[in-house]
This record gives sequence, structure tokens and C-alpha cells, in this order.
Amino acid sequence: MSFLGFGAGLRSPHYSDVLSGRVLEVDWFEAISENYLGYGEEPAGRPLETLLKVRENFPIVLHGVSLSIGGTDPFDRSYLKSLRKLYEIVDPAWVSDHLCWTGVHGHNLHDLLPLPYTRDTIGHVVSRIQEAQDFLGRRLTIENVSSYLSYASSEMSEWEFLSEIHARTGCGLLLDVNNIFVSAHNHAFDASEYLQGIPEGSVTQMHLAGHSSNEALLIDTHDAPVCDGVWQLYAEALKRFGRISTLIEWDADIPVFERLEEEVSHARSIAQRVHGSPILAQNPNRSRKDFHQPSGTQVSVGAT
Amino acid sequence: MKNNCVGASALDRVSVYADAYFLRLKEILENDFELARVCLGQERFVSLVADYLAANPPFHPDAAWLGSRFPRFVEVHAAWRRIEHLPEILDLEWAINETLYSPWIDEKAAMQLSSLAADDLSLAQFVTDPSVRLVFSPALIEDAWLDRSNRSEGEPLETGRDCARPWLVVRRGAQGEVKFARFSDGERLLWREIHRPQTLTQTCENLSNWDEAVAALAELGGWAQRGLIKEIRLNSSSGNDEDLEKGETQS
Ligand SMILES: [Fe+2]
Repeated sequence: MSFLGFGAGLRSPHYSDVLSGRVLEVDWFEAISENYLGYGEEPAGRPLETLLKVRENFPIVLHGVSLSIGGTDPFDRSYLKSLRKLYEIVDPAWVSDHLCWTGVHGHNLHDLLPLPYTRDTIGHVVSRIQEAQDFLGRRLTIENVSSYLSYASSEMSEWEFLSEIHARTGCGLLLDVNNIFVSAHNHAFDASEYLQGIPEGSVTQMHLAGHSSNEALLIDTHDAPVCDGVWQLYAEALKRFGRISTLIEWDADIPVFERLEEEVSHARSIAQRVHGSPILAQNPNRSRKDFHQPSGTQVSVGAT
Repeated sequence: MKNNCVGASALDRVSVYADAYFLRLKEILENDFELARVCLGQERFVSLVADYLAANPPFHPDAAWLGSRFPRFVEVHAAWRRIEHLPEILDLEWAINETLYSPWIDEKAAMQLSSLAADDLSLAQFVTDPSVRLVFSPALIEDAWLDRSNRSEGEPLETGRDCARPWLVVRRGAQGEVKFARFSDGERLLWREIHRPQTLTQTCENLSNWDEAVAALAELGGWAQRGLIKEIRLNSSSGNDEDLEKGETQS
């Protein structure tokens, strides 16, 4: 999978900065798929038009939050069709969602709920990933979620669970370093052991974000700068996994774009320190073809 | 597997999810229904959201659909519908939400109309702006929506005299800006009629009993100028019912 450099989550308050034409510290953007689907049979509308403008100068990754890959309800076909169409239109570098479940019996909780880490769940998730990949026509990249509870029925660690799913489906892993840090605190496991348990070569992307605390628990709020402990864990992850496309998520109390760029720049400087060679910011006017090979999918630029 | 429940009880842990559930959904509805929130005030809005979610738990994988049943819920609710203008405000704000997710079509109709021979005009069919949504509201709720960030919390909506053109037309501009217009009952009839797959001559025949709609025919040029009609096609065939369905659901 291509190395895209250091990116940021694309959020509407930053659209004008991103489209300003100035050289940004950000090499690529990750967009939340559901923000661009709309209500019609096909994705359309102003948000999508804006995303396509951003895509003229930056590689885009589409990150979903509603696939419910661990859920037991059948996939919602109309949702999957919209996603597939969005992928055709945007032609992202890759697509991702979370290793979790988001609802049951037709009710959506719109949250990323943890799964019990059992052999049975692995079998279930593997078949769901394969079904989704077949329908969407894309390899999925799957992200570890932060969690606040675990199940008495779990038979293995999260990293063993994740690694087995990667091995059996060939899906990429989106390692959220902040989520590992948060869950390590909440469930009293060793975050370094987690990293060591993930196979080298399996990681497509990493996420970094801020969190908050709720007395005994850490909460994955994405409303703050990345903390020192997460930066340290990130450096450790880079040592293990090599050059990995990295992205800063900031979703609540969203700061000015320049503040986000500082976080991106800090991630870059850590990677440079770990890998010993400069990793320069990309030129936003550079053609996206320079970053990764298009998948060959026909891209339609006016939303119809 | 060892029990890792150190530092926080099982209840504390489940509560993180339970609390986040309501807060997250409330925030989505606050964003989609800003004017309704301001008019009701935060406390009453939260109470409305709680009633709505109890009756309509999120049903769609995409959280953007959460508010799609909100206007209807209030419209038929014994208590909430009594709050003056609340059902129309919710209708308006959902229409705005939908219109921003509509495709943009370049405006060609005005130029086409100026060069069209009179004989050809009778064969004209109209491609209308797909972003148009019609909301029935004789009150000028659009002014309140435009001014929503300056309004005081809980300030009831005083709209003065009812508007003679009771159909509020909501649509998007090229940059995603929200545009408003007003239709009379006759204009609305004409708007519905021109969505049928038929020529202008057939439209005129169908409208012959509706005086107001016939009068509104003079508006067609104005609609083209303002971008409500995007394109004119010359076609003598009468199309099919499927097209008709689609045109009507847009309004
Ligand atoms: Fe993440």
C-alpha cells in the first residue's frame, strides 16, 4: 500500500483553508464516507462537490463509521450501494471502517461498540469482511476501536483477534495508536505488547488523536491535541512497522487549521527522527497521480 | 481471560456508551434543526429530542438520516404540534438539509428560452432544479431561519400577517447556499404539472380549469431566469409514468 505521508481528517470548518491553494503541512486527507452520501440514490451535493475539489490536489482516503462489520443484522444493501458509488466517484487511495458493531435488530446506536474476542466472533467477522469486500469491490482496511468495557466471554487479546482477522481476510489494518493507548489504560494491558502482537507488514495506516479522562477511564473524544504518551507509543509503532501513512483526527472543539497542521508536522518530525531521513511535505498542486496509482475505476467529477 | 474491571465498575463502563448515545444523537439533531432549537430553547428542545428518539430510534446506518422522521413526528404529536410554527420549521430545516445534498445542474434555460421560436415553445419540456423542496407555510419562517443566530433562546416565532403565497420554495445555489422563493397555490400546481413528461401544450390543456395555474404560466420565463427551470428540451413524446413519479417526489 502506498505511503501517503502525514494527513488530517477533512472537516467542514477547514474547507476554505484546504482549498486556499497555499502549501499545506498536510499531505493527504481522510474523509468520513457518511458525510458525503446524502439522501438520494447516488451520492451528490455540495459536500461531495467540495471533496472532489480537494481531491484534485490531495490523495483522499474514505473512512466509514457505519459498516457494523461485527454486527449480526444483514448488511443494509442500499447503504452498501451508496458506499460503492461513492468509491467509484472519489476513487480513494483506500477505504476503511472499524472492527466493531454499531447496532442490532435494525436499531443503530451510531457508536463503535467492542466485540467479544472469541473464535466464533472471528469466524463471523471474517465472513462479514469478505462479504463487504466482495460487494464493495475493494479491500477493506479495518481499525481497532477504543473501548470502555470487555466481555467475560473473550478468549484472547484484542491484538490476537485483530491479527487473526487480518491473516484470514487479507484486510489492511488501520492502527489507531490513541485507541490502543486509551484501551490499554481502560483494560490494564500493556500497549507495547499490543504493538508487538501485530504482524509487521499488516499496517496500512495509523491514526493519532487526543482523548479526555473520566475519573478512572480514558475517553476517546478527539477533542484535544495528541498527548505525550500517545506520541511515544507512535514512535514505538513506527520502529516496528516502518514508514506508515499517518493521520491526525480532531473532531470536537475543532481548532484553527494551523493548529491541526502543527500536529501533522509533529507526527512528521517524529517519523523523521525514527527513520533518520527527512519526509517533506507534499506540494498541494502536485498531481495526485504522483502519490498513488489510480485503481482504474472510472472517476466521474460532476456529481449527478 | 482475566477480569480487567479495575478502577471503574461495570456500570461506569456501560454508562460511557449509554451517555454518549443520547448526547451524540442530540448533537446531530441540534445541527440539523438549529432554528427549532433556538425557538424552543435548549431545555424544551432536549425534551422534544428525548420524545422523538424514544418513538424513533435511529434506523439507518448513516446517522445523517436521524432527523428524517422528525417533522412528521411533531406533525402528529398531540402536544408538540400545538407549538406555533414548529411543524413548518422542522419541515423547512429538513428540506434545507436535503437540498444541500442535491446535485447541481448548470442553468441553461434562460438562454435557450430567448432563442426559442414560438412554434417550438409548444413542444418544450422542462428540466427543473432537482434541489427544489416545497414547504407549506403561510408564515415567513424563512426570515427567522436566516436570522437564527441573532435570535434569543426560547423567543417564540412572531411572523405577523400570513403570506399570500403560502408555498415556501427551498433550493440550493451553485456554492451550496440556501435560496428561498415563494409560490402561490397556482404556481405550485404549475410546478407539479411541468414535472410531468409532457409538452407545454399538454400542460396548458391540463391546466385549463385552474385559473391561478394558467395565470402562473407567465412565470415560466421568470423561473428560467431564476434557475428554477434549468434546461428546456424539445420533445413531442409523452414519456412515462416513472418519470412522473420522480418529478412529483421532488416537490
Ligand atoms: Fe481512529
